[in-house]
Amino acid sequence: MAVARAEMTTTLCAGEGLAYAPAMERAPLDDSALMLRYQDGDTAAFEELYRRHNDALYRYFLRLGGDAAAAEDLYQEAWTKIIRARSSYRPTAKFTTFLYRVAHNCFIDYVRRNKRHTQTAAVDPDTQPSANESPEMHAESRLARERLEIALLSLPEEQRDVFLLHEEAGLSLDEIAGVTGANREATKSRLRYAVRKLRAAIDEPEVET
Amino acid sequence: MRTDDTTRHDDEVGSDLRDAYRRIATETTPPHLDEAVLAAAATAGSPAKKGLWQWRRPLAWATMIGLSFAIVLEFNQTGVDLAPDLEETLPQSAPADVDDETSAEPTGDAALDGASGFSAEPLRKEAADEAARAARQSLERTVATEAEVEKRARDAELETMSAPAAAELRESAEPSVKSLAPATATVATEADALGAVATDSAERLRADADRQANFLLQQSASDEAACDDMTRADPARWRECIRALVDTRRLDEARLESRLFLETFPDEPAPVPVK
Repeated sequence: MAVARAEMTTTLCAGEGLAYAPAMERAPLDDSALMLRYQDGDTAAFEELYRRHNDALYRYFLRLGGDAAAAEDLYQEAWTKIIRARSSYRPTAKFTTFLYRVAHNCFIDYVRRNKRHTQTAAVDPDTQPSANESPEMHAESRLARERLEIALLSLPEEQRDVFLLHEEAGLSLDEIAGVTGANREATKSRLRYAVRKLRAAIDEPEVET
Repeated sequence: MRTDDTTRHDDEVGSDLRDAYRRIATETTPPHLDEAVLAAAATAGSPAKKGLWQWRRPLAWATMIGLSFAIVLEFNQTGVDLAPDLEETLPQSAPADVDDETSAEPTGDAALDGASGFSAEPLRKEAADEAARAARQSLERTVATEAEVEKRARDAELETMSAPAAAELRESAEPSVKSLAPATATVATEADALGAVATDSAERLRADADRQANFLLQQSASDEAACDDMTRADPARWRECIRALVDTRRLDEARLESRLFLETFPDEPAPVPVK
């Protein structure tokens, strides 16, 4: 997918009359290069970087804490820290790892501040049936989604964190271990437990009421 | 967001679960958050501000250094002595005899001067000065009164040419002596009273100084002997330490440690009560 995007961007940038071609140059810059450009005052580079990660980071906070208001606060806090840290940023690791390490630490601080934080299912599954779904199929699909949401929120915090870092941030086990401070085996085990519970939730036969 | 590396490395999740998760994970960042973050990034990263900061910092340093030089030069030119002689600020010393007397008494000042920075010396000197002044005044009054009486009597004796005259003179001087006697007694009593007051005051000041000295000595001693940080890290050991303090009748320290314990470990069982 990354290769396809690179090819597409190169093609677009090679075209005539594109105003943003000089900024994008020939190939898309990787995250670290964008951050370094932002370090030099290029806010367009930051915007590009931001657009690559904003939704995934938002969903990470939304599902990790289960609270939309808290997710918004944490999201802003994490990006503010990234912005403030721009002058000291060194591309020693993937930017995604850096970003999610900051995000993870923000969440840990939030949990410590609010020890009795409640896990409320703020995420609202889509209730509108799609065009090719019958009402029965839609109801079944909705139930499966709800079960997955509930199962995700009922996971222990460490397992949910690992699962979200794997799915939303796209981090490998080693990178997740680096972000969370756990070792690789513990991370792998947490992910395995999380997947087992989530799979059980989506495979669960519907109970007749 | 997933890369080939991560999928190859640890495809624990599986496509079914991933698809199911992707169907529910469709939320996007609210626009107001995007605007806020991008605005913050633009403000923080704008070159104009960076440039402003770059010349402001050296300017601030230059201003500070310039002002410091100006102040020092001004003081030098106007002749203001920045470090006046310390001897002028010190209190004058007491008379030698009083100083010797008071310095002979054990107060533990030397130990305190080193241990806690407290010095009883000024208090002691003040007390000694007051006592010496009062004693000197009363002595001078008494001596002056007696000298005057004796002088009158002597003058009368020397000037007499004959015994009757001397006797006459003595008789004439007798009432004066008699009339002066109560005054002498009164002055002597007053001097005694003043001396007693001065002595009381001096003793009180000395006692205060000694009390403070003893308190600080006890405090420094208790600092050394009370429960240390290692003990305080463990509630059980801390409780044992407090119990040991109570057993050895070091109740003040035990009370202090108990209060610290309850503040540090409010959820732990309270240590042994201190009466």
